[in-house]
Amino acid sequence: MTKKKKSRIRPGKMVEFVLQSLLKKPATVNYPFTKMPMPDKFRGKLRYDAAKCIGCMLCVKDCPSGAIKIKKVGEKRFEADIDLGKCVYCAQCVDSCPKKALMATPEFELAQIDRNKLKVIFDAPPEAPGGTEQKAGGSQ
Amino acid sequence: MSQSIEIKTELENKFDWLKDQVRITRENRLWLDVPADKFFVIFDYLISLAGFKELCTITGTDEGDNYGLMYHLARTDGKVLNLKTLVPKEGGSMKSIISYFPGGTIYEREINDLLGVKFEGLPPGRRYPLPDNWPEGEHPLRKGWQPDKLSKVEGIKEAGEERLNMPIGIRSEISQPTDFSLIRRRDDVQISIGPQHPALKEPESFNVTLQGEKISGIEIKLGYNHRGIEKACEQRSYIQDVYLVERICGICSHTHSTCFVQAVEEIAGLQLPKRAAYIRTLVGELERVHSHLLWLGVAGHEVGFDTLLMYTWRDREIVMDILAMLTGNRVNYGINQVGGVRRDVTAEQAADILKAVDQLEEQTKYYIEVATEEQTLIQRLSGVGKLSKEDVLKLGTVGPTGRASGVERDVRRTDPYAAYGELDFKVITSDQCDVYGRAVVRLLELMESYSMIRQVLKKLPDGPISVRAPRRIPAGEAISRYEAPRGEDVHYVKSNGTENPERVKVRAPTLANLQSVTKMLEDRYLADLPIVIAAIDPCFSCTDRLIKVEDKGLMTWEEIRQYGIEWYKKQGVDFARMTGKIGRSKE
Repeated sequence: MTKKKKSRIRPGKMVEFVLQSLLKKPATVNYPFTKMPMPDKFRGKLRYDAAKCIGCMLCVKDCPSGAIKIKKVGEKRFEADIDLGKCVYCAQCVDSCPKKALMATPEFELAQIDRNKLKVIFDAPPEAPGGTEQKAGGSQ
Repeated sequence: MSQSIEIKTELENKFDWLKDQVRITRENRLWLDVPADKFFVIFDYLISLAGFKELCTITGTDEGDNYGLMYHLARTDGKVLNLKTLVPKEGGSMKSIISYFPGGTIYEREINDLLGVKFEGLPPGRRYPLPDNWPEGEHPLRKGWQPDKLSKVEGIKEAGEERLNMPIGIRSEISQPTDFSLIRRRDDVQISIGPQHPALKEPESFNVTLQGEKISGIEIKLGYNHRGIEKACEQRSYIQDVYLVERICGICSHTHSTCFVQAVEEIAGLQLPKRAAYIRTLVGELERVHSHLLWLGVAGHEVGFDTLLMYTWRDREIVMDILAMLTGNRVNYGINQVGGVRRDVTAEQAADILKAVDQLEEQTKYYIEVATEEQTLIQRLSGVGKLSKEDVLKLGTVGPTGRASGVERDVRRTDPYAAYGELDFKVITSDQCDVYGRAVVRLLELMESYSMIRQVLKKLPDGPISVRAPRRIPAGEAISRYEAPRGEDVHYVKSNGTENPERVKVRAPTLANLQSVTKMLEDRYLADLPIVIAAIDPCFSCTDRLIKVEDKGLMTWEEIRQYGIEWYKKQGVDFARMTGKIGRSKE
């Protein structure tokens, strides 16, 4: 049936497109020198605010991959241990947290060759609230 | 509802012992438990006289002393009748439904493998979905079975030694023709395509028998992506499961999470807010756009039209950016939660989406022009992978693959969910019955999706985006259907009043479609194989759903290399000797 129809291969149409593409800017960006901005709702690496945490453990309970550990280190002082290798970046913990102690940041360049470096420990504040981040297994 | 009651009264009139046995949980959903000895009387009646001609899937459950087998039968008007029977664990067996649904054997094989239910009349064949070296008698979906038991099973390698790791080049005599295979003759040439092959995007194995260039036999081996998700779902809470089922597949992640939460919401009796339903529909249609554009590129690539791949994948970035803006991430959107959605759509976002849709629509029009006018493409795809309407009905083919053979089967129309009942759209079909038809159906569906996205944004009602869902879901069961880009996705969820589900069953569209591939390839050329497989838009990770992570601790690069060398040595391949030989021959 198709053979009866007049053949309509039109290379001219493609040539037009190819020439257009020649003059266009590339669709890609020159990563890592140019970086695309992350969308507002992007769920990247988690940040933990030890000062806000009340130790309810809802984040630990709801985490689908068991990436979060919250440790009590003193009176109303908590420490978070987040395994970025296990985290699936769903940010359910952010939703579950009643005190907004957890936050998703736009940080996404998290690849590591050494698995130990994927463990991020957020220390409890020494006395005054603040929360400092410490990376296990040396500097990044 | 009235029609469901009609079916119920009809059944009761016909079989008086069924009085008050049929339960209607909601519009389109009927449930019926029958004893095993009377099962086929009802089954036969439902299929031949009541019009339940589609088999969604079979769910197997472990219920104490019995196995429960639930046959989800569907009608073209969207009614689903869940016919359940019990099979005793001790010495019990069930008759195969192969004579009713030739495509249904794969579901029986799955239950046989995962639960250990015996099916009489099931032809011998390769197991699915567990690996060949899985020990006999280990059935992961049984309630008492624990994943950590696996490491204790020392026999995992030994048990299947004769089946496993057969050296490359020697034909396995153990593998018998399966549901997927055509008759194979002894003197034919065999080619293994997969598990790892450039023509396949995911690991699956096609063992092709050739006579000259023509395919005379094909054997499909599935299960390489089996990750134990159904079992894992039983051990996690509903909140965790939403993210787990979302990761069944990257391309149709919204499909699975929506299908799952719909079922859970139905059991919990939650009223989904209108706005949430619309947002789910919006993301679902955007996902369809991205999936169909992706397919178009892959199809172009498989027939050597790589320009199409470059263009469609460039344009696909537009919709990916929209999805990222709307939900936060490009894939695994994480927008669903039990009781609603997690993120709202703002007015600026709606404007951005409309702009992107205009842009995409213009591009799609160009692709439709190419597809309908370009002779090279038409002649390459026409008549390839023929599948008649009768075969579609017989094998239970779903989605664009079925619609391209003239079967108007679309869950969005027949059994509307989310906001589809309030949208105006056409179900695209084609009478081409070949790969070309499937391409045209998908292209025209893109246009329908654009129109639906515009309607959703126009009608988007105000109000809350979620309702509070309890952590404990009351005991009950529900079956949920969703029209994925590839076809009908089915989730069955059974709850027991705790925070974790009792059973989650997933039937992905590819499992239903894959069985038509052998039919399509009958007497075709080997060169058509990649495009015919690609034309059903296969998604094997959906199909298999289970990974066994063998905990060997951390391995360094050198250790991994050494492990590989040792493994091959066991198979009789010594790389050290080989490199020596190559080195000598060079000299």
